[in-house]
Amino acid sequence: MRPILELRNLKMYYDTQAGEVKAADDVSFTLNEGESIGLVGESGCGKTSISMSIMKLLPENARIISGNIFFDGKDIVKLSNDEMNKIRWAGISMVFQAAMNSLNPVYRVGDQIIEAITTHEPNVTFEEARQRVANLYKLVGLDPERMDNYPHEYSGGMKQRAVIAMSLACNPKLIIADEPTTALDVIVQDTILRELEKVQKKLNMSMIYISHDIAVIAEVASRIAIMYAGKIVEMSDSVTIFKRPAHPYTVGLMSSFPSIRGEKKELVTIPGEPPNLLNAPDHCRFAPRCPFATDECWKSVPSYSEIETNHFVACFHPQNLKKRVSANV
Amino acid sequence: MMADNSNMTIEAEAKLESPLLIRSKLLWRAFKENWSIFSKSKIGMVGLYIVVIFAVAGFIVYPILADTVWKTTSLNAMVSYNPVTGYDFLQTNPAPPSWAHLLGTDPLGRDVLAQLLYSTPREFMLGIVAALITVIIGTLIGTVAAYFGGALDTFFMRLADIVLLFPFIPFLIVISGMMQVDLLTLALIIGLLSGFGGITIVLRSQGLIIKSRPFIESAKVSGASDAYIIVNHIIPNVMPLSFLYMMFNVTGAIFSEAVLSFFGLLNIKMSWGLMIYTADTAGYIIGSNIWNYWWLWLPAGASITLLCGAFYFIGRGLDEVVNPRLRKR
Amino acid sequence: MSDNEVVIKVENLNKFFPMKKSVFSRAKHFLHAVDEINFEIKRGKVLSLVGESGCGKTTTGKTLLKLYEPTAGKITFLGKDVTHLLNAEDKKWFHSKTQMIFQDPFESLNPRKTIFDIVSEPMNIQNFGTLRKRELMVMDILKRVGISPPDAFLWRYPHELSGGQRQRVAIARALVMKPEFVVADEPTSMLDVSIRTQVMKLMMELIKEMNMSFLYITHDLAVARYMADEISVMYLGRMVEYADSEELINNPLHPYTKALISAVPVPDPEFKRKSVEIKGGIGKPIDPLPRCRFYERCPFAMEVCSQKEPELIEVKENHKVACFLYERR
Repeated sequence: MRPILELRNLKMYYDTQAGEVKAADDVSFTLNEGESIGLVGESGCGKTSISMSIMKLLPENARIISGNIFFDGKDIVKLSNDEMNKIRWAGISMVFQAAMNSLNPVYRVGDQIIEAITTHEPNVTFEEARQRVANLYKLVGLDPERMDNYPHEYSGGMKQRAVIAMSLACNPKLIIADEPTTALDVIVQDTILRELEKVQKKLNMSMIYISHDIAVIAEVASRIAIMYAGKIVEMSDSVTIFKRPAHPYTVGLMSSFPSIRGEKKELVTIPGEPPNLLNAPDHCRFAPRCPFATDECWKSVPSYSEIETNHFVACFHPQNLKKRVSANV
Repeated sequence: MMADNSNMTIEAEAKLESPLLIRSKLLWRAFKENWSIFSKSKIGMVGLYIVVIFAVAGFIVYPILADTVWKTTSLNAMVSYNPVTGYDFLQTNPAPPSWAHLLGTDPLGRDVLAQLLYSTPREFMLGIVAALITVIIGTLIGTVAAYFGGALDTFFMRLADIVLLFPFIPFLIVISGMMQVDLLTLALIIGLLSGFGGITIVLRSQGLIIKSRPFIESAKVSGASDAYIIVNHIIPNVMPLSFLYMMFNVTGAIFSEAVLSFFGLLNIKMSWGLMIYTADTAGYIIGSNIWNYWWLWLPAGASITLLCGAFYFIGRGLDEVVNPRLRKR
Repeated sequence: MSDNEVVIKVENLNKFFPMKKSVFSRAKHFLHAVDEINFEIKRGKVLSLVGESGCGKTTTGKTLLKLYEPTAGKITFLGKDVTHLLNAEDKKWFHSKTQMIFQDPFESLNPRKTIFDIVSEPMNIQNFGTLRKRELMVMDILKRVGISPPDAFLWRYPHELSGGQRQRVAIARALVMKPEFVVADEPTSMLDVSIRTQVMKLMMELIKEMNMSFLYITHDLAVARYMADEISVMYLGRMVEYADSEELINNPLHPYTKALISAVPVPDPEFKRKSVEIKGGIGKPIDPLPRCRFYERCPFAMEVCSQKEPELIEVKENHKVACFLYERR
């Protein structure tokens, strides 16, 4: 398998009046062709900042301090805006958070997708583009006859499908789906997730799913990265993450979700609140909330290292933890 | 988790400060915060400086001058500096600026600077009284119409439409023909008319937004009456906007007064508009006379423009306090 | 006060909203937001209303608390008919014993009020106690919901608090007068995962400790399972299933409930869910035909389903369902 996207020690900071906010701090991961990974974390943990860095759609006060983002072998950190414009949509496209609001209410939905195609591929005629949109509609489970409707004539789920169709319009190699189903009802969420998974497999695309909901990620991603306070704290294939979690935050996150299957379990809470990324401390950022924290955790930042094949953890006591967790939870 | 209640009560009692003190501290803090935003707006600060200069000139400098420099024993000086009835016998009037009369004299031999300064507090009074009446009426009607909706809302909104389309200045001309209009009456009429007009529509739409927010329902669930909700929840939330519109209304009122005075329609002793009217009726604002006798109209005209502009500028500065979206980061 | 006392009882509750075009025309069409709902909640028990957006669960909650006037039906609170509260004394009594917790902690607290003002508002409205007594009660409840030290928060504004703290304040506000019955409308759906569990646990503790009755409205069956003793599933204004929570989760009968449960993502990558496929999307119950509202989407639809509406009947002990599949003929 060939890597399609590689992040190497990416640091992305925001300058604010109060100081520097380390939204993404030393983030590294590799995504192979045709693979789907999930970024899980709470709001403000930096997961959206990472997707914005990959798309290079940074707000004015955000900067990539250091690190590389290799897309298809090219370091896109160094690319100019014009060069990046060619990669956006055609190389990497994105399904935004609350995507249904990203459709322009005064244009027909089909025309908006056609416009996206013709701006990136000027050689495509209107008829060809229209045909392609019709095919995309079928692909995401929409009736091509609805192309000439306006966004307000679509339901929430249909809008979401249309946005997904739009993100597929220029045959991108990578799609970033940032909370693609958060505002939707369960049944609609379910069908959209299935649709996304199907399309991804069929077109052999790479996907990055971003969500706060570990259950959603478990359904669609083959590898999972858990983020906390601007850092990836644990990353592995999804089965390992669920069967042998090594970071206390991962364990806490999983056992704090009420489940609908099996016996009704007592929920475990993670005490405290997610930290402010302003002036981040030089010790483990999870230490204040960690039930297993020792003196070591308060002195330095744990390194992000491989504890078993393809299982990376940033914690001083990953081995210890496994025993304790089985005793506790 | 449950603390020892009795212990806590005693501890708490000791810590409670008097509510009045706390409220004043809170007000002071809110003022400081808003001031720090406002003071960053250049346009707002320019406006504020101009208003302060006029206020100092009108409320402090004029009384001092009138009591000292302009109050000499010479009979001529005694009468020539009276802004309403004065006449300088020792020269042909209107006379250009000289050491005795820094801004010259008008066709009736009165000192222009004295007239200008004498009028300033009256312009302030007119503008602020009119704007205050406008805002009080607008806020009350706007919030009540927004809260109750239905026929009441329809009635006041149609009334506002009518007032908005109303030929304002011609109406004031007719009124001043029918009755003796002095400054206070004028302020009342302007305040009443604009209170039922555009400002009501703006404050009503703001009221509608606030009415739909859950804290209103939260109060209703606790059994709050309609009056309680309007006074305690809706009005405090539209107040910043009301205050902003008050600044813009000061401008409108001063401007209307200038126009009416220029036509000589008001029963007032002295105002900036009246100064121009005097020069005009004496035939000094015709043809080449305009530039030969500039001191007759330029000081008054510039004052009207500056003060109107200054209140508008303050409004623009306040706009940034009230609408966080306008702030530069 | 026996433990089996019914705190709130709802009989054939209806709430229709007229679909009006203007003030002057009579409504011809009605949205049947709540249609023939029956339930009762005993002291200390939690009933959860579950359904997709637009199913009428929030309208039911708001109608119970008199935010909407019921169209038909009867509401009995502590043995007293409270369907239409006509005199001021009954209103005061009812509103001092019922409360609501809202979904969005950013919108349910008035941004211009301090935490003390917000939490003490119910007492303020009800004219309860002296200022000093109110202060002490506010401090007590704040400490109880985990806002500590309370006196450090009393004079802060909502924007100075995190989302989790705000929701705790909203809970404190609702519980400060020790209500007997509380409607909680998706109180945790806007919170971060780790904070969500904390707040859910806190509510569970408080319900037990204060022996309150709760109507817990949510779209998330897993949350409902964790929080509630009984769950009722709503679809387009109708109650389709009503059972003890474990029974409903483990043994759902209605095809819609089955679909809903099967659509919940499972946080286990090795578990392959089988979704119950249902057709189409959720509509709006405007002038619904006299037939099963799930008819068009139901995979098991029969002829009888299109001819009349199924009644909610008890098919097992404490398990009611409105579906012809289970009707014994």
